[in-house]
Amino acid sequence: MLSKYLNSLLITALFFLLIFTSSSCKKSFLETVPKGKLIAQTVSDYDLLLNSNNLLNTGGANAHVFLGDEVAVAEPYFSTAEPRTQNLFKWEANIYETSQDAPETASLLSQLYTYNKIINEVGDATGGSEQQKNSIRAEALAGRAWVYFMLINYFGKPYTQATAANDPGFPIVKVADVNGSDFSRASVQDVYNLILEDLTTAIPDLPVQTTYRIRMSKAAGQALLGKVHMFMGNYSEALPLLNNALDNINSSAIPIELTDYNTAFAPGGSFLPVSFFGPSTPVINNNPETIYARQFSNFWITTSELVISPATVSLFDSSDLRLMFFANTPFPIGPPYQAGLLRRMGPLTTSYGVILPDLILLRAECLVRMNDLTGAVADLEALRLKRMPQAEAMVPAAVSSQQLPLLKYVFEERIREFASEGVRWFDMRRISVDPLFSNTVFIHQIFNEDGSKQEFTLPAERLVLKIPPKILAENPGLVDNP
Amino acid sequence: MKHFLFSGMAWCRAFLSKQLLLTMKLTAMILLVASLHMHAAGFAQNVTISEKNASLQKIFKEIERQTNYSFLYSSEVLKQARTIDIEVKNSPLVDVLNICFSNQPLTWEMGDNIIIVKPKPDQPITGIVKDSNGNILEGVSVMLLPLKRGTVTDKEGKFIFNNVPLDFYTLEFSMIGYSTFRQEIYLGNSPFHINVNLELKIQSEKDIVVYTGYQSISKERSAGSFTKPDIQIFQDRPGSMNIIQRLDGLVPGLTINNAPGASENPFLIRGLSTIGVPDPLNPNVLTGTNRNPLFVVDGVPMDDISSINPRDVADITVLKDATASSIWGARASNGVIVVVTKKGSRNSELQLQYDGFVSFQGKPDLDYLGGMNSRDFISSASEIFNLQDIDNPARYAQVFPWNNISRFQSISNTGVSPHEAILYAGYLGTSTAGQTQFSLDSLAMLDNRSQIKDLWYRKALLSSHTISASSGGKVHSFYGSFNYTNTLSNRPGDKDDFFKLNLRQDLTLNDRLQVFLITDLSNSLISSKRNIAVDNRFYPYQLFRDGNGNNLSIPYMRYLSDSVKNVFEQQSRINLDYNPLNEVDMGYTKADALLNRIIGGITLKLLDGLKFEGTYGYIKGNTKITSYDDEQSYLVRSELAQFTVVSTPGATPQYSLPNKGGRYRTGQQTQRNWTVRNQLVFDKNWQNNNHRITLLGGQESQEQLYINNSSIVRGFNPLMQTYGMVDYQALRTGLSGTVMPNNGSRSILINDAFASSEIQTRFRSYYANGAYTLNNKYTVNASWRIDGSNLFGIDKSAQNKPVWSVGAKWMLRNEKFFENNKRIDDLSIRATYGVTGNAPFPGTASSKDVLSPVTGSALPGGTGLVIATAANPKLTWESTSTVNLGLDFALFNYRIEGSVDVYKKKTENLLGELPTNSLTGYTSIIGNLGTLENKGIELSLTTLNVQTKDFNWSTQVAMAYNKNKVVKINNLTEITTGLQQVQQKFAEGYDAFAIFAYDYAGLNEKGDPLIILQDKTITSSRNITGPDDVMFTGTYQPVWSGGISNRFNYKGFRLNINTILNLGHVMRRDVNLFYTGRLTHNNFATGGFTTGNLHNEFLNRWKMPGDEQITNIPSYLVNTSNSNTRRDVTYYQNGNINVVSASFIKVRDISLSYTIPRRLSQKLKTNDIDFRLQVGNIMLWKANDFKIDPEFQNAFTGIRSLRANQKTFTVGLHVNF
Repeated sequence: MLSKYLNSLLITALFFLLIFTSSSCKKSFLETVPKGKLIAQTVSDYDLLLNSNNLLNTGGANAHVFLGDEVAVAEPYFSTAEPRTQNLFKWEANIYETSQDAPETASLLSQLYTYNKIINEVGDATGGSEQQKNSIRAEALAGRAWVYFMLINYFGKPYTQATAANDPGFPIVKVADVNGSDFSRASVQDVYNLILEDLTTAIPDLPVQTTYRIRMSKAAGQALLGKVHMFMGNYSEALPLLNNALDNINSSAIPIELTDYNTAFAPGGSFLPVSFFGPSTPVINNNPETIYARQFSNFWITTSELVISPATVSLFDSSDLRLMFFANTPFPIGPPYQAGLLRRMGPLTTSYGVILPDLILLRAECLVRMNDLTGAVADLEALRLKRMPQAEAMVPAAVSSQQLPLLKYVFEERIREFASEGVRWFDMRRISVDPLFSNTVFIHQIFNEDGSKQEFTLPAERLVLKIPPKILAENPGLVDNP
Repeated sequence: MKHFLFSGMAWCRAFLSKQLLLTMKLTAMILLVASLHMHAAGFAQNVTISEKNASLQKIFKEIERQTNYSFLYSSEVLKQARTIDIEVKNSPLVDVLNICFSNQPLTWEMGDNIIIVKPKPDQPITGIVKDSNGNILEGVSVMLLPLKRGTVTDKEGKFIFNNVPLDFYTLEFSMIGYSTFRQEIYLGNSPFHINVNLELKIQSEKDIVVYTGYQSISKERSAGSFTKPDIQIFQDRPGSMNIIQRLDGLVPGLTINNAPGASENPFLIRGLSTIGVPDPLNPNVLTGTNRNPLFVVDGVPMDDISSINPRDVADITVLKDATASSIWGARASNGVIVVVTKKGSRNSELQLQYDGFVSFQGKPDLDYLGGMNSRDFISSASEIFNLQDIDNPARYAQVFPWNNISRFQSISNTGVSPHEAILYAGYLGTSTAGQTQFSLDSLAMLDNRSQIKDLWYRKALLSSHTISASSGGKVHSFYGSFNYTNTLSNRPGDKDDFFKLNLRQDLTLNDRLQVFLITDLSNSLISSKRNIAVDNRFYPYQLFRDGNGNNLSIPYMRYLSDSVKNVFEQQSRINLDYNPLNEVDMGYTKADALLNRIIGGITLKLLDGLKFEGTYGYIKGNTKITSYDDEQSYLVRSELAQFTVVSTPGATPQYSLPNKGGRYRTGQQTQRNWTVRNQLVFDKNWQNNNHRITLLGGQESQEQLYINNSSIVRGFNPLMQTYGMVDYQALRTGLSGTVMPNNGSRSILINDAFASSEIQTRFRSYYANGAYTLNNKYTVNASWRIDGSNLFGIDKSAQNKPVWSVGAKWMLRNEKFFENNKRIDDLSIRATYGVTGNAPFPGTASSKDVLSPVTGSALPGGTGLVIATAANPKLTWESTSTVNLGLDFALFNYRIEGSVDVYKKKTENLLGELPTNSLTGYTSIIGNLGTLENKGIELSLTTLNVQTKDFNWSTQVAMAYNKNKVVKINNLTEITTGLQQVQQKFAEGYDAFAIFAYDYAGLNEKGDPLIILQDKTITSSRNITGPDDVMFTGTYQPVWSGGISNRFNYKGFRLNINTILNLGHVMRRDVNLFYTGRLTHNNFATGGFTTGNLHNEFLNRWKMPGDEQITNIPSYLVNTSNSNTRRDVTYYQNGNINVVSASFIKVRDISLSYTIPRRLSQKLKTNDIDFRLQVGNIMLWKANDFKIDPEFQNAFTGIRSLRANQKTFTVGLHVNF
């Protein structure tokens, strides 16, 4: 009896052992990593985080396309356009409905989160050299600078040294934290300081070679910093940076060069066929004119209200091959527009990160401002030669010899190069604070079907966008632009 | 006798009946001895024998040797004899003979020196059967086992078995509606008579055993809130093979909401306790947390129990409060439904059963969806085509220029419909006004409704057959079943065959060790053809087949208008016709799903009262999906056209995809779940059951693993099994100059050659549970559990979440002061409190940023990472605390029995999509959203209304009231507009599943909707409302839910009427949604054939000033921009006048069964034959005046869905062999 009892006790004890050992000996049982998902740990993870379509695309962040004065709108299409489009074109104060997420902030702020994460965390990542970490961090810093450069040019007043410290800019966010709630607008100066600091820190560590357009390289960083200085009016600081950038692209691992439209549009050329979506331009990552690829979707390509103004049309020489991007009919086809208006047919996405034509024209502008007119003309002609037959490419002598007309010519060249792609809006903001162009008036025209037109003048306070109402509602303390 | 019947403890009954048997044996012996004694007198010869297991023959020979007596017998007679053990020394012969013949079916007679051996004479077995009140019962079936002889009681309740050899027997008395009663008897030399009182079959609490999945415990001994549905109604309910659907209306507190908008919450136990987060792929679907009750089958959790055959189900227990369910820890928040499948009982005969039914479900009710007829549609279309908006002169054809709409732009566009083409031809002057009118009139004469019904639908049919067998010996017992279910859906050509083999074996190896093994295999074979989704919401004039029986091509329903189609065909040399009826046979999708459920268990008795139990479950499933689209299919032809380049007009097309062969896709979905559970159970009673204690503790590990992968090849030749090559590298960057570009000016092919995903969930848990009962009056329960999971990216501290519960019960009926109360049979009160949890799915939310890979042609190396889920460091699990008070009662000799439960359930840290400050970079994240509260009352009542000899009527009521309130929502940002408020389903201070609406005030003089704001101003302006300007109209989950079942028995007939009701909730009704823009259909990919037609309400819209006096329906404006700045038509769509009551009462089923008389069925060599006839789903009452069936209405969006499976008819047969 007793032995039977002992036996049972033994079995019991054994089972207890079995139960508790079977579970405790496998500590790793719960430590599985789900497939297809991970938490950034290694340097390579942070590196891959920079390979992202979310960083490449800013989606519908395209307000600037409609704000530029080089564009006009045509009826009857404009009155059926979306309310946002109509508000933007009329330079209305209120663009968005109260609960709408504004595309001008949505994707940029989400990119900012990723950059802040990388900047703050990559230093502690495992499995890479210090140099790799610095390089990745530098790319993120330069990426953050680009994001803030866009944000401050949407929502802050154009940079003027005298008032920048007091002009409300945009909240500075340097941590990736979704629980953040205490935000206030930093001054325009503070935001520019952050941009300068990020870029200055980043440039020494950025990859010398451009290997992938989607990734930041030294040339792109220098070009961006040069552009920022141009926007601040620091032309002497901008010039060496732009020079360096143009030098550095020569060492690029991939072709970075201007596309010669003369051959691209010749029979059998790479831009053919021209469909109702425009010439067959390469996608952004294959586009040799792109140094740092960032793109927004220019969805007005498939609507018909957006045209370039007659004044803009008149800037083009008839042999200018850039006109191949324009049609005189609505999308996809139809009766020609009134008043000779032209509509941009493509591409559907606009490259606006760091692009070679912009870089060349910025340097040309800088050279004019530094009074190196020959250098400026050389840059201008280098571009124009790729855009039209040689005969028309030369800068007229009457212009090339005088600083101010040449400067104006550079701005006109920027319109010709980038019409309907939003660049003009940022130039207008610069012009508005440039003493050389004081008292410039910007107008918008609506062309009715019978050819008559309506005009709007840009009010001074509308050189900035108002803070989207949803963000204001979320942050009651935030000061809005007037 | 009654005492035996109602003793919940089987062992007790067994023990007592053994004693009885012993008494009877002794009596028989004494009688025998007495009757024989007279023979023995005067004989004094003595015998000495010592034999073991000896035959009588051998003993007789020995006696013949020792005495001068000889035996006379036939060897035939002696065959019946048993061997005996005998040890006698010098005993008188008579004594020895008595020993020899005791327990023998023989008797003896002594003559001169001769002992004659003969069979004992037959004795009759007689008896009278009455009910517990002493009323005579006729028609009770009486079985004499193991002879398997049967009879039934007559008008006087009497029965008789004649010619029964003397032996031990079991009498089994059974009758529908009464508990089966068994009695072991010994038939000796005298007739045997028995008086039996049968008890009505009402399960008293003592009899009810509840299964938690970890243990089975007498309901009497748990304070928890359990419900067990009537398994008979459950079994008799064909029409659906889904176990949960069959529970509808049987369990108070289990709401079954079949409405399409409730697809995420079809089954709710005690209201919603989790909200979840929108699915990234489909924002209308909430996911991320387990929303359904936990389903447990034979102790092992299963995600999908649709493969369990309802016929195999022996028992279902629904666990509702914390004490009942907290043993399931982190998955128990939504309640637990525990299913136990059948097993064979020990020492039982082989039983064979057949059960089958055929359910005729008919065609769907296409007319239910409404929609205009052709004449109304054409006239409306012409009307708006010629309309000019008051403040905007552009007409339809100017706003939507012909060039724009007719041209191919992208594959998300679609062609121009015939009526539009005619109208534009008139506008552009390519046809005269007369021609245009004639063409429109011709369209108005056509009607495709009968073609849709006849060509695209068939009558649905569900049939199922189950054969089962069970048997048991001393060591081994089994239950096995085979099921075949054929589902004929209402779509022609679809096939769905389901096969299932289920076997449960139990081994009792010795008195310490028991083992069971369930092997359950199911195989489902499903195939479908390329039917289109089409109903009366499609253009009413577009025929699918012409008068000559030719199937019609309608390419405009895909991408191309006729003009473009011809050009593309010439360029690509590919036929771009689209003929929906021909397409049906040009492709297929087939699924072959195999699911193995293997569950083993072991019970080992260790010490007195202590045992070890192990449960080991392994569920492995594999589904293979193949899908093929022939080269003749539009899918393949149009894809080829997208990748065809024609360099110059007329040049030979260059095909970048294989131009021969079809597209073939194969996919594998594998699941592998296992559970290992080891536990110790201590169960002991002391002092005559005055102390009863049950303790349980154990450890459990679980894993669920799902792996999916799929691959696609193009240019597949099904005969040769060869396929073509695709240059993904080039095509994903884009191909310029294609005939039919799919992405702007180029065509892009996403690399779809291969896809793979894997989800793994692991849990490791420790748990303990105890119950103590004192004096059969007081019970206390407690349980505790801690779960660790592999939740990814969660801080360790948040991973382990202990849950617990306590409960107490007072069985008042057992107190002294109730001792002599004859009216109250049972009375007890319960109280419990506890906490349960709900863990988010791995990867749903995280305290660190979760990254997921992306691919893209722009990315270096083609791959990169994005932040899939932004980190929320404050994240924690959902937890639900529940207070439950319960009362159980039984009155008037168990004729009224029921329970009432009152509960309050509070769920905190609800996981949900939490709006964040946009400046953080995210507008919302996954986080702990807030607090929900559920309060409710549940009543479960069973009454026996009429009980006579032939007829009885009983009623079961299951009613539940649930009030669900969102106590707190941690919106990091405030709701600031009325529009946001109208879109809220979960708003602080309101019922969950809220429907908010504008206070509608009719139309203004322009036909624009007006609303009344909180400050009483009436306005039509957009963007003017704040959250307080909209009103709460109710919740769209039923507030009252339940069912009433009435059962009538008359002789062999059984009638069940099951009515379900859902009351107190609201829904949006379907309204016209078309107020501006172009009248066209959707792209094929977004349900083209279910769009195009207009809501009938459109006819009554505002058309001219003054109409605002007679209609509430806003005007139509051509210019969308104009409409979107001038007014807000959602004021009408989401107005309070369009929120209606969703209450309804439906007869879920009426079933009539007939059991043919035993005498007849025995002639057919069967025990029982049951026929069933059933009608299902008859709407009794609905609160709305719009003919809306709330079960087919998306309550939140107000969209109707196709009504099917109403007024079904089922025939069924059940045979016990």
